Amino acid sequence: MRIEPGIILFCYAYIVGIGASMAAPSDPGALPVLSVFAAVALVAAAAAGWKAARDVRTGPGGAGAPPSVRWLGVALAVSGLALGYTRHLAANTEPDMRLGTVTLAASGASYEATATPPDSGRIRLSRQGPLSGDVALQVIGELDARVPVRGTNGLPTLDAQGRWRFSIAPLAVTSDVVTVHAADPEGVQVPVPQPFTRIVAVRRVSGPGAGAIAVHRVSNHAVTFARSGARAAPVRVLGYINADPIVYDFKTVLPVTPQFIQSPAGGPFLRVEGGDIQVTVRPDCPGYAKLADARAYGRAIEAEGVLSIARAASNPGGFDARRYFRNTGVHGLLSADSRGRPEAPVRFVDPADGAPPPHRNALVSFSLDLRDRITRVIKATILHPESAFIGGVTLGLRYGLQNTECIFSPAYRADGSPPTKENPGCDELIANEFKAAGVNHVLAVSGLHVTIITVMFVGIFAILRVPRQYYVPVILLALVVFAIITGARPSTLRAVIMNSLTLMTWAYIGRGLRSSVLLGVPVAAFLILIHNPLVVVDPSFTLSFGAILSLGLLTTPALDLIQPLRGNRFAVFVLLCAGLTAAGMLHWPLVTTPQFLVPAAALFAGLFVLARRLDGRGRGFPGSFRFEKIPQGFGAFIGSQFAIQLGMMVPLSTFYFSRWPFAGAYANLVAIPLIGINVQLGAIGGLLGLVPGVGPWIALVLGAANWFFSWIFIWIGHAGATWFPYPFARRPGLAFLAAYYILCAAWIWWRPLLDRVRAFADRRRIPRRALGWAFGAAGAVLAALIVADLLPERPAGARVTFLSAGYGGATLVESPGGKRILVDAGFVEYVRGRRNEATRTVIPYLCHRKIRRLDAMILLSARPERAGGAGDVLEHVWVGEVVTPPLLAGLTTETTPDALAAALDTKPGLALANRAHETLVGDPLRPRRPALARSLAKRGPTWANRWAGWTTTRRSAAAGDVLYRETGPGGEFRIEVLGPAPGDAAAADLDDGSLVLRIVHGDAAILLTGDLRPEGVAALAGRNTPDTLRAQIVTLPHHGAAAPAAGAEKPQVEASLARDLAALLGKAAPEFVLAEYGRPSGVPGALTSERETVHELTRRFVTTRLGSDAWKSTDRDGAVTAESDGRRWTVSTQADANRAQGGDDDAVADIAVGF
Amino acid sequence: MERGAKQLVLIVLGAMLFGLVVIALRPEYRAAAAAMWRGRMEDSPVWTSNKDYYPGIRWTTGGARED
Repeated sequence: MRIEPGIILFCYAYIVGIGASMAAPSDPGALPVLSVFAAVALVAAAAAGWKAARDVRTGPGGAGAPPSVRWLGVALAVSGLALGYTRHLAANTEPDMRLGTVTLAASGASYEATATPPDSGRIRLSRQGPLSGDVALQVIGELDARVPVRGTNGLPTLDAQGRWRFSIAPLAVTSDVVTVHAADPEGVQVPVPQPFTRIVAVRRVSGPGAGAIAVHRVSNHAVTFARSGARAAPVRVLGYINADPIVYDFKTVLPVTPQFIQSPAGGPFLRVEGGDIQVTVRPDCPGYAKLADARAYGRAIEAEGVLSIARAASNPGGFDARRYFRNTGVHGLLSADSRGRPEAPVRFVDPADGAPPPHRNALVSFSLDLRDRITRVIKATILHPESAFIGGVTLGLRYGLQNTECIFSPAYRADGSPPTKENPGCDELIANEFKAAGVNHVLAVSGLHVTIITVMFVGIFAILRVPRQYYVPVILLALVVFAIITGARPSTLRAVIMNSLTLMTWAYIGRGLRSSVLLGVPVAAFLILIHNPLVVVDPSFTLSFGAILSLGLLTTPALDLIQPLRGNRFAVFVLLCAGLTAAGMLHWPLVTTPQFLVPAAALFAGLFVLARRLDGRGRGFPGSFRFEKIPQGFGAFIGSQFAIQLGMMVPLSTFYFSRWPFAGAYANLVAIPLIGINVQLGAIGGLLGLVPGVGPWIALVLGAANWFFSWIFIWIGHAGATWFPYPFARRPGLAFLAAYYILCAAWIWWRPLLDRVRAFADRRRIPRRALGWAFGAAGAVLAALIVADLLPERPAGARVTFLSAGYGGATLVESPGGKRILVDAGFVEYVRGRRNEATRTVIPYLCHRKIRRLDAMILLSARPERAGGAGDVLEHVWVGEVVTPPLLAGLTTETTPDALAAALDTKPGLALANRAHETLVGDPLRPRRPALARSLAKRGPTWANRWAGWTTTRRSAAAGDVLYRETGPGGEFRIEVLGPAPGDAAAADLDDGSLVLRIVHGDAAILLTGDLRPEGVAALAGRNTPDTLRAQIVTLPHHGAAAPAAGAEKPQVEASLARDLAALLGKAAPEFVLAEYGRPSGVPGALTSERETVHELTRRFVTTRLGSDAWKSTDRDGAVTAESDGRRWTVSTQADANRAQGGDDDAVADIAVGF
Repeated sequence: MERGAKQLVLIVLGAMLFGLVVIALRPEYRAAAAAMWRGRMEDSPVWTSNKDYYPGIRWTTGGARED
């Protein structure tokens, strides 16, 4: 009896169980019951397996499996489901421990313990049942206070076994008075400030004489010590570095397993019960060189710093760093800051008597040392930056390619010449070009690399004529070392497990490769997910498995479509591919429109019919012109590329990144065979370079060749990024993906599926026509799901979403009638940090909302933090018109830097003038970079633009204009312009010439004040009545950071606020005041410190005047959404949404990782 | 899988030949070969082009990183 089907079934059932836990998680309290059920199910499956094996062995031969085999299948499925569900639920739960109950009585309170805490911990109280009033309690008990034993150098000490030495002093502890409120929902827990080891009694200070209070011990999991935002507090951590430090050029991240945490500072040390953290150190930290060294792995450390929790999403659908880190086992981020400290914030602690670090695994140490030695060989034999490329693809080294510019950059010109208009060069990052070209996957060590290494070693041993039964274990060890060297990401682990299974079945059972692959995929997935079920949604996991499943399952169906084509029909197919490619390269937006696709489909359908007729008559292309004439290996490779695009790139690349690399289908035809050469030469050269004597010479020769092949690869990335578009796409939802993959599955298995359904229909005497209708209906439902998922949702009334885009503006306005208007496009900077809020936040948000078309884009001012991203938006989104302040009315691609600087009333050469020119006009030395004027010029009324609907008009606006008006449910919706006043000299000012908009829906209004200076604010208030300014929400001018003059002192700022802003708020009478704020560093026009000071003074002024609830800020609250029914705006924030999903705090401050 | 051995030999041999051509034609590689011959790897243009790439990894006779 074959067991592979059973193993495959169990593994896939496990994955389905995880999915069920994600879709419908149980209460964590059900975990013990579920665990017992899963255990029983596993035992039952084992018993069923034993019985089935016995029945097959002892039963009569002949057709049909015994019933026990069928029951085995059911048992395996149920046990896999139960195990997956339970394992995922447990991974998501850090349950507190119920210690006992306090019973309130007229005479006081009595405490009954029901469990003994395993160690010192923090306590919480919660109401159990109704209370007639609030009850104040004190907890009385003992704490075994741990104090590290410190040596003469002041460092904590370890014994020879590597255990931390503590002196433990039992202390009697009486807690502060804690109040449990009767009105709190049951289950809400009130923390007790003091930790306890043992609880002796609980005293009632005041409150009712009846009721019950539950006493809980908070788990000492690392996540319970981390806080976010202003609540993040300094802690001291004793632990060890559990993996290779991740070295960047501006910081090093240490993966740390904390063993004890002192929180708060000066308090007791508590034993940590699970969870890892990351400790970030910067180059100015004392001892940085040793921390950024692979030999730091396994060493014990004492670290001090602020322990914070990763930030949740700052915009709807945005990147949730908190969930990402949690899924990878990281539950806190400790920033080690050495400023103003006498000692280093991170210090190594070595065991007594010179013992080796106890947490250092010998195999890991060997692997990391080997990696460093191979890196040394690469540095000696391959020129930079190709060396960084080889280091990345061979060893998984991330440092070095992160900020490496394209090889055609002026930095790498052989003759040192600067860029010119005729020969502009390139200053894109190699990594960004690889993403645009669709070859970025080579930098993520995965199945491709592992397979290359496997084939290389098999080849070496085959040359040496070693029998496979002997060399396979050596290769398995080499793969483990390779996985450790490259960081053991899920994609690498998947490939190592699969390749190991393939090698073992091939070497010892003689099983063919394909069946090994069918078994290897689910087994590899199971082994990875049993360790960490949360990684199931990690892109590294899903993309890796998506790729291998696409290759394994979709290649043959793709080839089955293409291979029968011959003669004229094959010629039409080639013409179709070439034509679509050329059209996409020339005008991508056109190719995605129905007005192109429908006639194109009709044209090619007609050509196919004509081709078929010509083939029938033997005219035109001969029958020998067919796909099968292509060499088999290359033909299969083309088929596999189709499979990868259909099965992984199109659905998953858009799901995770909202972009699809058009060039990938072509670039990979060359890149994938080439990367095999790069990796093999890199590995062989690196290993031979370690051999004394002739080794380095051979490595130099191979390195020279590999340098050239790497140069070609980097050029392919550059060409792909330059010649092909890298479009954004609507991000599909789960319904789309489910329907899409069901259709793919039907395509793969349509023949056996059809046979089974026909057999079923024949047995039940169902007419074939009814079957056809049923299939048709199912297909229509799936197609409808796909289409519906791609349609943007429309709000019932009006909606205004202020995106959290750092220091800058980006607001989406949606009218009740379906108009969509973007106000401002975020900040863009190419010099420092390469920050682009348009491509990082604004456009991905539109993709998340399935919005492809904007009726208009309004730029309130010419400042880079509002208009910087306009060019990028125009490159990727349909925009009907662009509305600008009068200052930008004359902007063209010919506007010189001096002329623009004069218009903006700033000096040429200053940062503001430079940023403004490069984002508004465009740098002639960088023709590929979008800019407002450049992108507008490309949206003129050419025939292709008109066909695609890709034209954009432009106009400027001034006070008195009504940009949009419609009437519908809730009353009139309009966007009216309140400033600048036409003919006013201030209209020519960069700031006071800002557009001031009032968005009105019925009785509800929002006022957007642009970048008005205080005098502009005063003028706005002066020339308008309360009726014309009234707004429930007012956005602060200049993001709440406008000083009355450069270098203004605090009293001047406060006086200006009390005069100018007060005048505006007095007439507008808002309920909310919003600051579109973030870290101002890098934004030209004022000092960062000045902006931060003014912003804080403004916040205090507003909260004093209107109350703290009136203050909204996109750095603290994330995206702020206002929805109107025509009567008032209902305001909600992303922080509220995160809290509703179980986040314990609200900070999304100034997201540093993008959308 | 073992049929890849022949491909591997061809790749390595071809790369060796090609590498010799690159060394002959590229001045940086000629200088690197000369520096290796003299035992002065730190003078090699190839090595110095990588001075900012993992600067902690130095050319020594022992481990890749030394205190």
